[in-house]
Amino acid sequence: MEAGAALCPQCGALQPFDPSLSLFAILGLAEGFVIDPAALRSAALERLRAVHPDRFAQADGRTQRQSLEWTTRLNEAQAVLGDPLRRGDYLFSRHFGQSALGEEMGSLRDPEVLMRQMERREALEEAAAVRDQAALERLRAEAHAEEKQIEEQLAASFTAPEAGRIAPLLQEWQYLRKFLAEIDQYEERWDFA
Amino acid sequence: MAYSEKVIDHYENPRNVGGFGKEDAGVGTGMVGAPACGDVMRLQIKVNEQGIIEDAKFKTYGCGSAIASSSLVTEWVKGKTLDEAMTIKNSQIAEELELPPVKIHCSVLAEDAIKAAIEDYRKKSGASSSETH
Repeated sequence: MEAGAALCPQCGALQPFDPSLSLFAILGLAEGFVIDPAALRSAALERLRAVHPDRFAQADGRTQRQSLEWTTRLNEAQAVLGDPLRRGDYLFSRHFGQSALGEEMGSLRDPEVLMRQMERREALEEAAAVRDQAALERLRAEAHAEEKQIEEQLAASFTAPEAGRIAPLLQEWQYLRKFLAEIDQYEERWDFA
Repeated sequence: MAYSEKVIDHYENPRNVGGFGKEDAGVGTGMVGAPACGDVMRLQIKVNEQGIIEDAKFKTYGCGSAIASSSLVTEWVKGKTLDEAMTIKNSQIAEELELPPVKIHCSVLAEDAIKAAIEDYRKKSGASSSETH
């Protein structure tokens, strides 16, 4: 039987969820940073359909709970693997035993990464102070372009994973996400001002 | 989330915001960050010839607790020797600002920042100020 399959291929019965399955195995995908988004979507759809609680409405309580558990886990796997940053950090924790973004990593000291964040935030602050919408758009476009670059660097780095090379990429990406959220917040405030 | 009055006070009236020239004599710079929250903190000290921190400045992008923690530390270190400043613990910061458990890491960041600033100063001044006494 295929690892991670929710239904028994012989009798079609819903199998108990195996918590040792990786998020990739839950979706029946090969483990790796590079994923075809369409393949992820169709794998998730197909599996969600197979375990859908409606299909087990007449089943016993235990089976109903299993159906719900599979649904939850599949949704979670799709959400994590569907976001390249979360997927990267999940893979990082699979390789190195912890998230690259959590408190357990301690505070970040990399002066280059930190300097870039400081400069980015200063530029945003200046643009926001004079409500320069065009500058905000420019900063947003730059951040998106950097996200793309980091994604490419991660794809290359995960072929021979080294924590010291991958962690700073994930951390910088996380900073970019917060930065983009900050831009959105400024714009929302202006919309309602 | 409810901030304590002390956090709000430091957030609304941050002490010692700004910076010194990184290469200026007697200046030590500590930069630390917490990517999960998007925090980035720069804390600088200006040390006189007697080895006393005579001025301190900070610039922090982050939540209210991170700003308050760094603001408080710049107040605390003024007039202290480097060795005294090294003994500042995040628990003291958290206690003074009444930080809730989920914000303790902001005080850790501020402790790491002052330690990094002192290390930077000592490295730049050839470690002469501490190891030789």
